[in-house]
Amino acid sequence: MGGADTSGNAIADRIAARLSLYLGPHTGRAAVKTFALKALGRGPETLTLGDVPALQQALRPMLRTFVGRAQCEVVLQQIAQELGL
Amino acid sequence: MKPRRLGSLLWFPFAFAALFVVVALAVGTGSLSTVVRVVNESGKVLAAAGCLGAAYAFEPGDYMRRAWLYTGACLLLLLARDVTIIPVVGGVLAAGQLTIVQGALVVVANASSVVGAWLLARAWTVAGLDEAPAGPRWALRGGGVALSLLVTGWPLWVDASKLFAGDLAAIPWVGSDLGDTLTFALVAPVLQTALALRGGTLLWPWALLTAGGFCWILYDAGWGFSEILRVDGDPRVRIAIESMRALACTFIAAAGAAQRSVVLQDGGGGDRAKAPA
Repeated sequence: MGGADTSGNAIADRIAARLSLYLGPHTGRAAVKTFALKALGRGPETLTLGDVPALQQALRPMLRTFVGRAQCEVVLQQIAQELGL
Repeated sequence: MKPRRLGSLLWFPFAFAALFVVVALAVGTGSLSTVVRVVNESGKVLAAAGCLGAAYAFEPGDYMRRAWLYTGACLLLLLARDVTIIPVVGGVLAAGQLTIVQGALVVVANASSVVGAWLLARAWTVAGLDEAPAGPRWALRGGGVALSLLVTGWPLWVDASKLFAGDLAAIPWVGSDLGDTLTFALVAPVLQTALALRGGTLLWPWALLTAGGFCWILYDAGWGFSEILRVDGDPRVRIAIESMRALACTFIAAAGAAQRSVVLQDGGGGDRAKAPA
């Protein structure tokens, strides 16, 4: 990833990278942006580690829809592990 | 199956359809109906198995479980209808009763297909990702409806005319035409979802479902145009059209296998997730 493919925020980019395995890079980034705005009222470039639990909660319905409850929890757990939470 | 190998599922429908074409050309016109029947039923069995495999990879209550179950139920009901064509089975019922049972199975199967297609078409919205401008979205959906009516409009008109003239035997055909019209129109939003998921493992179930939907459209269009052009009696035309049904069924089977693989995998490719630089 580089240039326009990143949000400029390492946390947002790492979450997007994990989501992109399932959703593809474009939708992975779009999902982080959409749900950051919905859950936090701020863009992904402002994400901090403290925002991650709220963002995970916001991502849950979307992930459950596409990959089911069990795999959704695996993905969210992987995101938490990658971010050291 | 590892996520990166999901693309190999793409070959299965083409191999199945190619095998059908080779065997159909080899046996000649005498046994063509038998070969078509075997491929038709085995294709439906494969597609139903794929749908049920995908459905039961999800947990009860999961949105996509319902979508796959309704799609699979359509195929199972059509298989049940085909079982009634067997003389030993169909002979149990009086002719009038058999017509009603077969008609009911076709109507319910088509209703199930429409519900399944509707759930699939709405997945993107249900997921909360429907943030795109409405213009292009509705343009694609309008195109889907137009393409669907182009294929099914004429048979729908003919069968509905028979029904309105008092021919109750046309009920299952009208039901089937309506089901096809709605299901085909809903291929467009499924395509939209597949395009949005390009680059991810979820691309494969959605792309294969889209391919299956397009092959069903080509199958119906093939019969419609062959009747208009009066070439529907040509065995080569029949083989070409039936190969579309073989493709449609096996694309759906492959989509189910891909969906199951994505849902049951351990972590979406594990170490492929790289931290951004």
